[in-house]
Amino acid sequence: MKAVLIFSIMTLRMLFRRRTPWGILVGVLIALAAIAQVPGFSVENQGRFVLDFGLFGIELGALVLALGLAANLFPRDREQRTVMPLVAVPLARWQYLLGRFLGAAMVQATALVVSCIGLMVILLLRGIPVPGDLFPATLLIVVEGWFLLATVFFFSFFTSPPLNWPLTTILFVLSQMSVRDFVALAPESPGLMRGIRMLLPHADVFHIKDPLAHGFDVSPQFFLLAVFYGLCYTAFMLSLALAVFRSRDLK
Amino acid sequence: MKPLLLLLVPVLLCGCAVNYDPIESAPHEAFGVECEHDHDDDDHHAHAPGEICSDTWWFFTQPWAARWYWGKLLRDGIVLLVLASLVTVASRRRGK
Amino acid sequence: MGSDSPVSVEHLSRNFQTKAGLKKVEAVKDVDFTVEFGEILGFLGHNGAGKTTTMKCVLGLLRPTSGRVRLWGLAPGSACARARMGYVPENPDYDDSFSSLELLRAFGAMRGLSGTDPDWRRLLGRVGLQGWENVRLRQFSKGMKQRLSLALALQSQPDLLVMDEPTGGLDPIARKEFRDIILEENARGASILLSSHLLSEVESVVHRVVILNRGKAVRTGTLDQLLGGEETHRITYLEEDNHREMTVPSQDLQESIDMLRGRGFSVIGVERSWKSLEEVFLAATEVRE
Repeated sequence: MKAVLIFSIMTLRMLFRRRTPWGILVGVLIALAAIAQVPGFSVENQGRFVLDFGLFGIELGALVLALGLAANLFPRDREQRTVMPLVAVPLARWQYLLGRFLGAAMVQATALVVSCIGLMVILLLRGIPVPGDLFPATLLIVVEGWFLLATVFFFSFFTSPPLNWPLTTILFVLSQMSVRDFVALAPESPGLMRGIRMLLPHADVFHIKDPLAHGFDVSPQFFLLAVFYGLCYTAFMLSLALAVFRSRDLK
Repeated sequence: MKPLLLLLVPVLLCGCAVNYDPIESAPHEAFGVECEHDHDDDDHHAHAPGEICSDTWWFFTQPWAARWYWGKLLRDGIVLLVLASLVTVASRRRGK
Repeated sequence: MGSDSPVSVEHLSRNFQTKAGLKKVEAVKDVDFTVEFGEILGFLGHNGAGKTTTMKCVLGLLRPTSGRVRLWGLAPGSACARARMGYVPENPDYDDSFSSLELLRAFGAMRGLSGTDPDWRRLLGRVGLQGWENVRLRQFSKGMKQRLSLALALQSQPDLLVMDEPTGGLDPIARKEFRDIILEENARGASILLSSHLLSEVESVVHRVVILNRGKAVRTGTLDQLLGGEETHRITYLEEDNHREMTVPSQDLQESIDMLRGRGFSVIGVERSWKSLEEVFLAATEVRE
């Protein structure tokens, strides 16, 4: 595990020095500021609007960060052959994958927490009370972001970055849908659609922007369960990514 | 060993199939009653906080409020962890 | 072949599919060799002969299509085997946002080595990178990256060094420095698998040679075995004012001189000739119609 931690710190340093995560973070903060400028609401309704769409914006930021950080990591390592000296000697393949994932996850989490702080500042500047569950809500988005990151890694071992983007985005969109809505996409094949939906995660587990915006308390039990579910799904996606990586020859 | 492990994957995934959507598994009372509204010019409905009726049930059947669903979340998480372990073990490269 | 040898390759074959999946390319065909303890094995071949493919199978980066590779009796890529190895890749590259010292530090830590910064500085000095410890790799030339990759390979004082064309693109002084380090490591007890197409260089360090041609091992043996054998003489003669040379087995020397004179050519010199590795290599890899 020490090798994994060291490699994850190497990855963290490498990603921090790139412009991509910072560009995405700035984009998210600008979007949050723009949301707060939308006119035409009463103060109470504007608070709900800013929270609802602000958290949705942070969630989209998690998706874009996952893709921006990880879609090109392994393809670039393979193309520049930097993966060979790593995997030939100091690291096993699982250490390489876990190290890269943890490094990218730390950068993603940092950016999302900064986004949350940005949203908090915007709420305060607009005179809107900051709900106590804002940071737990962001934590759930971080966990969802890690699941998306693991999915991007999975796709990156057998597709190119231009294909990874739409595949991960489609998975993100479909995992937001209820079973009923998903089956309704192809009502003539309900069994098949149910089967496919079964394989996809339930991303609505990570969404508490509705109760937050409407002032409802969310049970701490639910938070723990949602984090547990998210981390388990992330572990599953990483295991699939590892299975693909282990089957790949590094030409 | 590997074929057996791979066979377990769909079996375990199917274990998540039963009643895995909070709306599908919601008890009858989760949908509330048919509610009557005063329609204003904008057709805008106002509900008391926590009121569950035919217009608001969608809100209270989301996972955060659907307590009947939490046990299934825990079950699904454990199944996913078991699957992750199986896939990791099955994919270990063995030298020829 | 001892199964506990540092490297044991048995009937190794590796095929690739073309992109369309229509054609199979046999990059390596039924190759056998071992690297014994304390031995330097030279792995020679033209570009595309299958040297790098074979090396990658030894390292566990590629899976053989058939055959077996063992490192001290262990599967390639296993943790125990990797812990005892050092690898110098062809055209090495690393994350260029790091300095050489930072990279050595990180690799050393990942491998669980107890070395400290002074140890890594000494190592960088040994490979000719003194003064470049804190320079980012984006400012390194190709040759400097090769020196760095040698330092990374030597970091753990490995029992086996796998070197894939380590001196390609280096100047003659750098190549000599690499050769000296290879000999020093071998003197320390390391076994070395060295692939190259720079024959004169390989000739000066290796104990045994495997020559690959089109994926097959066509000659194997010690340098004495490959370069010795039949004694030959070189005859220099004039053919219509042009100097020509002919190499013949020594037992046929007189007959050859008589034949040349019979054709009206003047024989102007006769000397004993010594085979070079280049001659052996060219003879072993010449295309047969």
